[in-house]
Amino acid sequence: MNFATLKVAISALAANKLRTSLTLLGMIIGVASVTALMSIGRGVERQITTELQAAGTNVLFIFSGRPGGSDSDDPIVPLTYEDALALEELKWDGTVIEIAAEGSSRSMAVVAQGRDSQASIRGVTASYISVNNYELAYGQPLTETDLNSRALVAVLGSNVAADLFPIDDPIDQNIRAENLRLRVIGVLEEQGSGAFGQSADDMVLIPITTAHARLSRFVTARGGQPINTISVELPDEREETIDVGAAGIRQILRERHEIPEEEDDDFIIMSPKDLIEAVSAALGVFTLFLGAIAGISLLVGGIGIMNIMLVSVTERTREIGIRKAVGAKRRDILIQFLVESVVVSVLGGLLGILLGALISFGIAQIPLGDDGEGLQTAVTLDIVLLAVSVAASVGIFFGIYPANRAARLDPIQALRYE
Amino acid sequence: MRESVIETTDLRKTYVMGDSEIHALDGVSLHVERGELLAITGPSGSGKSTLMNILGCLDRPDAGDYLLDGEDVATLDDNRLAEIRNRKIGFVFQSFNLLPRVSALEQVELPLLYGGGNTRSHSAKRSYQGTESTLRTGNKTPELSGAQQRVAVARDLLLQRGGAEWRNRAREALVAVGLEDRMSHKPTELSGGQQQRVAIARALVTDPAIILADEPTGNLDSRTSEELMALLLRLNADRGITVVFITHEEEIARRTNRIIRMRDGRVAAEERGEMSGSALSPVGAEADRAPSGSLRRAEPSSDQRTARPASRPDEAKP
Repeated sequence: MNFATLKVAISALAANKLRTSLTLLGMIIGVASVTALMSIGRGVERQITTELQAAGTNVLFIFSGRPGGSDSDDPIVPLTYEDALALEELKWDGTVIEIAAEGSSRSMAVVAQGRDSQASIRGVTASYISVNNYELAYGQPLTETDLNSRALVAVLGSNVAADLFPIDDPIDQNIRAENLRLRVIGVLEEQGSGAFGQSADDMVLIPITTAHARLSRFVTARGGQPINTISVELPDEREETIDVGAAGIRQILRERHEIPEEEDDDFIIMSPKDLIEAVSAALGVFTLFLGAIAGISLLVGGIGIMNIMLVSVTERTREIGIRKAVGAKRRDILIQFLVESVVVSVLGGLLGILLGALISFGIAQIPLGDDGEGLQTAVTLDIVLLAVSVAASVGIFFGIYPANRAARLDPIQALRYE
Repeated sequence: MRESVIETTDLRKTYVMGDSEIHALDGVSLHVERGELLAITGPSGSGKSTLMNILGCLDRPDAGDYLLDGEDVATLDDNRLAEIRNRKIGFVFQSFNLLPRVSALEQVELPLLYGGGNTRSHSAKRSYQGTESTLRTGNKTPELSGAQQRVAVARDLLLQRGGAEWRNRAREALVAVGLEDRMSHKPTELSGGQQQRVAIARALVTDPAIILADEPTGNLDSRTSEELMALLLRLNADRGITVVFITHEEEIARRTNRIIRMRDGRVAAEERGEMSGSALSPVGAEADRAPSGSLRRAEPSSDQRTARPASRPDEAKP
């Protein structure tokens, strides 16, 4: 292939402008939809990863369950508040810095001064706010004293505070949730929507002991207070620190849960790194899936190219005959037609990326939800490269059959073709 | 003995149509010398088209030998045949067969494009052989030694970088057919006679061993036909190019050195044409017929779009 071949291809395409632009359009739409959909997927992926990272990468999360790959069917001993307290001993030698526990949350209506707000009430330990990197906007955090005395106090998420106390200072105001009367001692900074659709802004945090005493009186078979998650803050985010911390936690919990040597854990220790990896792997699949759906339109575009190339080969049979008569080899003809279809597909691909980027930019401008922020989108280099290479491959794949057909024409028949 | 360009022995070609076999060529042996002007005639179905396809390396014989310019081409594969067509054969078709939407200059460049560096080395080889021809015995053209050929190719590659060389050669060829002021015209902007001249220039440009002209005047009016014939005859006379006409028109056939009459896939008769006297010394014939020695040929006067200067060389018709 050389410049002359490209020139021939372009002039052949230019000779039939309407047909070429319609074929181009097919490619443009295909590539644009791939680009736009994948940019949405990639944007969501980024958003979630960023939020996970913001939560701190030196925190381990522990929850009940069997680690992946376990085939044990022994009953799982639930995590309890007492388990969390037992982990406190790891603080002595600095293996971990802080331990926080959160109970299961309950969604209920919270009322104050005739206003109400739908909130998720969650029993937590005093360290919960700091371990999860939440900041207090004003007021006080929960204290060990509150925990010990099962105090009827609450820290409000920013949305709840705004709903209930649009004007007044919420501090020291009373709120009511079902039969629970609580005194507001603090309000959290706005956190934005959470990674899993659950935002700290909608939470009402109360001492875990209070929650156990007043909301859920469940007791595990061993007499513990069941909890959802234990978060453990480590001194830093180095790999060894995480490994040592996880090993210490594992040893204590296995002892407490009386798990025999050969049995699997009945809890999962997840580092944020694991979490981010797991989430972005899942989201990567999601992005590819979106791309694959859009790929169907790219396929249709490719079929359009093939169709038009077949017509073109038939129409230009005589031209092919002439070229062969003056010495064009099969390869020359093959390349000529292949270059034509690749030019269409790559040009369509480039224009499609442009259009797709525009669409994805447009989507990002549409406000969603009540915070008025749009979906994040990201047209990344890998999407562009993928789109261009897929477009070129489509051109080659769908161009090869028509081009081969042209190359194999018998020159005598082709010259005689009317 | 003169150098032979075409040497076929017992060419056979059979087509199967349904149940019956058609012997399109049934043992054709032909010998054409360099510089000869030959006509192959015959009624339709006589096998002359099949013969032309095989002579033009568009097709292969089922059996028999074909030496073209000293090269055995009877059993080459498609790609090698394409190379041979490119280097050794120039086609002139009844229906011109120009590419649509392509300027005359680019039409003529086309064979050079497909030939790459080969075409020039062929011509280098030809001129080299020309100087040696007196030493030659027999019909076979001796090949250049490997080293000589490599030097020729290397020199050509240097010369042809950028395609400017091709452009110049295409220009020369168009000048030779009298189209120097029509180089950027597309086929739709040219008259039939002019289109056929472009085709002749395209055939000439690679300096081929033979020009195969398949009913070259079939689509032209009688006046333009006459001018075109004169051009082909003059190229034969001036440049010593071997021209083979495939035609059913008796007037055209008669104006050659030799007429091969085909019938039922065989050579039925061989006659001397009107030019036969001059056949063995084309240079002498040229002196007779075109004393001006100019390659410039009068533009068809039937063509209203052409306004050519009146510098037309006298064309003494025999």
